[in-house]
Formats: sequence, structure tokens, C-alpha cells
Amino acid sequence: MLGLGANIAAVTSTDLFTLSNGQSIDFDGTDDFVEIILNNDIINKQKGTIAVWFRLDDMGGSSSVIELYNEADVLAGTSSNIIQLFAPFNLSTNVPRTKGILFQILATEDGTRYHQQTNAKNNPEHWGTGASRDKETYGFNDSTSSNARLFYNDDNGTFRKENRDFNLFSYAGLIAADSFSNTESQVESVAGNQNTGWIQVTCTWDTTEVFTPTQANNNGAFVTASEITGAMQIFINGIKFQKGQGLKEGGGISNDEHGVTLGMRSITPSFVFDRIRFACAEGSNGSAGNDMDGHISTVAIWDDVLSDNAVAAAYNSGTLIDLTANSGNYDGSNNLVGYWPVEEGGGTIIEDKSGNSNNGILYNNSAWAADGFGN
Amino acid sequence: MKYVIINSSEVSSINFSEVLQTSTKTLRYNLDGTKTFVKYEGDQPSFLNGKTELIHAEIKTELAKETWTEEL
Repeated sequence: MLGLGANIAAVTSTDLFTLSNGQSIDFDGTDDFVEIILNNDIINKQKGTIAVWFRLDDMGGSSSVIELYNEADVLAGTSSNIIQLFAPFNLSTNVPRTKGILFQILATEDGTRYHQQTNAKNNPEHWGTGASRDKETYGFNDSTSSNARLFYNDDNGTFRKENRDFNLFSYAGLIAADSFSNTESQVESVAGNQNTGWIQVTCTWDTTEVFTPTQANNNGAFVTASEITGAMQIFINGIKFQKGQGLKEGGGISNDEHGVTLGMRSITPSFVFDRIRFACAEGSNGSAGNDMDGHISTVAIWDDVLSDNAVAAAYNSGTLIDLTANSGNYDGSNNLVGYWPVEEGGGTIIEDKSGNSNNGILYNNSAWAADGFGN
Repeated sequence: MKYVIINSSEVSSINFSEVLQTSTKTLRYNLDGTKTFVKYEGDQPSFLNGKTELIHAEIKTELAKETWTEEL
């Protein structure tokens, strides 16, 4: 399920932004959700792009942020033909940690000590401090693995990952920490499952694209892998982090460095997506769990893959633009097939501003909060 | 907000004007379908008949268990 790919850049805490003028929907992480019944087959099965602005109030489990699916397919008991965006990746206590995969590392210093943690609250045994401030020698060993996989920014700010002890680090799931600039209190806020701050994630899929990915080897160097068909990409705050394999059967990529997973399963040519859900997995009325405890403000879907420049322009450094009109490098308005700015501020309906009139309905007391994007 | 876990056999007794769930169709069940829950603000609805109330953190702990959440 893990994809292949090279990381292009690293998010820093300065990339996180504050939303102050608009609205968002606050999901409590138990059973509330938004459902959109698509009145027309708007989603191109072979190619598409989803963008969602959200923040998590609880990073303690895997949260389904958004998914596209077919209701009859789910009711029939099959879970194929679904595009899912999960965040963060595999933090549930009931998910065994895989040898060689170490996800969500947070390491900062407060001026005298280093502080490290993995997997937020679920693995407190890895929480600790180090007296040494020697960056070259203060490594981290996962006690369950002799060959832990580590993610960090090097002295030049370049993202690295290695399958061995590391010597410099800055990573915190959806929290993107600056190297050596965070305080102990910020570290503990993550340990205490506080919110992530707002983040924008854009995902693309193209089941027909043939490309040759790069892959990090054990020394953190990127090497060429085998040619594959089918591509997915994950962008965080307009920056491309991962381009990986998007197979027609069981495909998906995981940007585990930042706790975001995009999955696609068995997309068939005759398939029709007829539902979209926010904050709840698999269209099964939440029975599969993975409900999201957090906020969503603005969701947009295009029926083609946006260019890297268009994704960055749509993010626009954290200031929302009108996605129904082309502006600067953003040229996706003609492919915009679903657009929910989530600006109503009350009631149980969110309006689709794409022109396709696929409005969404809030269920089970999804609450409004005045902290989302303004338009 | 408060939460109460009930048996699925009790769903017919839910007065949806007193809880925050929308309808029987949007209730979340555990994986074997034997239990669900309701949530409300203020006083406990009478149909719950003194059942144990959970706060948000407590219900989330319960829902994170394997009996409620499928592994990805």
C-alpha cells in the first residue's frame, strides 16, 4: 500500500496558517459527518483532484477526512471503488507497528535538551529527553526495530529519510515543526493530542499515467525505481510531497512523513461515484470507525489532474481564491466539478458552488464554527 | 455533550427529538451490530432511563476499541 516517491520539500511551521474570517464544520469524531449525493457523474474515474482545508482536534487515530464512493457498492459489502484521504496515517493503538516503519516523529529542543516522541500519545515509552545537544550523536532507536525508518530535515532544510539511526530531525505528523525552534510546550501539545492547526491537502490521481518514480534507499539517497502505470500525488499547503503508485487494484500512496494517506481501489471504467462524505469512513454510517475529530473548511474537486503550479496557486499561501474563476497560475475553473466553500455558518446544508448543485447535508449534529476560510 | 451506549434492540425506543443524531439511518453501530449510542446536551432524555453517561473523551476511548473500529 505504501507508495514510491521522492519528497520535494518540507513544510515548516511557518506554512501553517490561521483561518479567522470564515466558517468551518466541527466534527466531534464520534458519528457526525457530511454526505453529498451526486446527482450526476461528475467525477472522472481515471483522473481527478481533491483539495480539502482541514485541521484535526485529535491526532490519536486514523481519521477519514474525505472519500468518494458508490453507495450500492458499500451496501453490497464491497469496499472497492473508493478514493479515500486519511489523516494521520496508522496511529491507532490497535495497529501493530511494522518493523522498519517508524511514523510520526517529533523532535525539538528547548535550548538545553532534545525531546523526542513517536506516534503521539500511543507510544509514550518513546517519549524522552536527552541531555546531549550533540546533533551528530543524539540518535533515536526504535526499541521494537533494529532498523527504524526515520524522517527528518537536514542542516540545509532538505527532507531526508533513512532506515537507520539519524542525526538530525524535525518531524511531527501533521504538525510541521521547524528544526530546533520549537519549545517544550509545543511538543507536549502534540503529546496531549491537541489540534494540528489548519492545513490544506491536495490529492491527484491518474490511473493512466506511466512514470518512473524515485525511491529513497537505506542511506537516504533517492534512486530510480521501476516504471509503473498509475500515479497519485499528495500536496501539502501547495507543495508536492509525494508522487507514487496509484494502481487500479488496491492502489494508494501514503505520505507517512506527514500523516496523510490517499488510497484508490479498483476503479473500473463503468464505475460511478455517487457519494462524497466528509469526516466518516466507507459510507457505512460510521460503523467502520475512523471518524474525524476536527474541522473542515472548503472542499473542491476537479475532473482532471491540476498542474503543480495550479495547486500552489489554489492554495495561494493560505488565502483562499475563488476557485470558479482562473487566476494567475490557477487554470482549473473549467474542470471544477464540486466546490463547497462551507460558508453558510448555520443550518444543515452546504451549497455546491461549482454549478453542479450537489449540495451536502450535515448529519448527527455536525456543528458550525466561525474559524474557517472566509470568502 | 453527553453520550450513552445502548443495545441495538433499544433503537426503537429512541426519541430523536431529544437526541442529536438525525435518524436511525445515521446511527453508528459497533462492528457486530449489537450496540449503538446516542448523544445529547442537557438533561438525560427519559427514554434512556438512568443509563450511564459518557463525556466526549470517554466515548472516543470506547469507539477506538476494536469492537467499534476496523483496522485500516
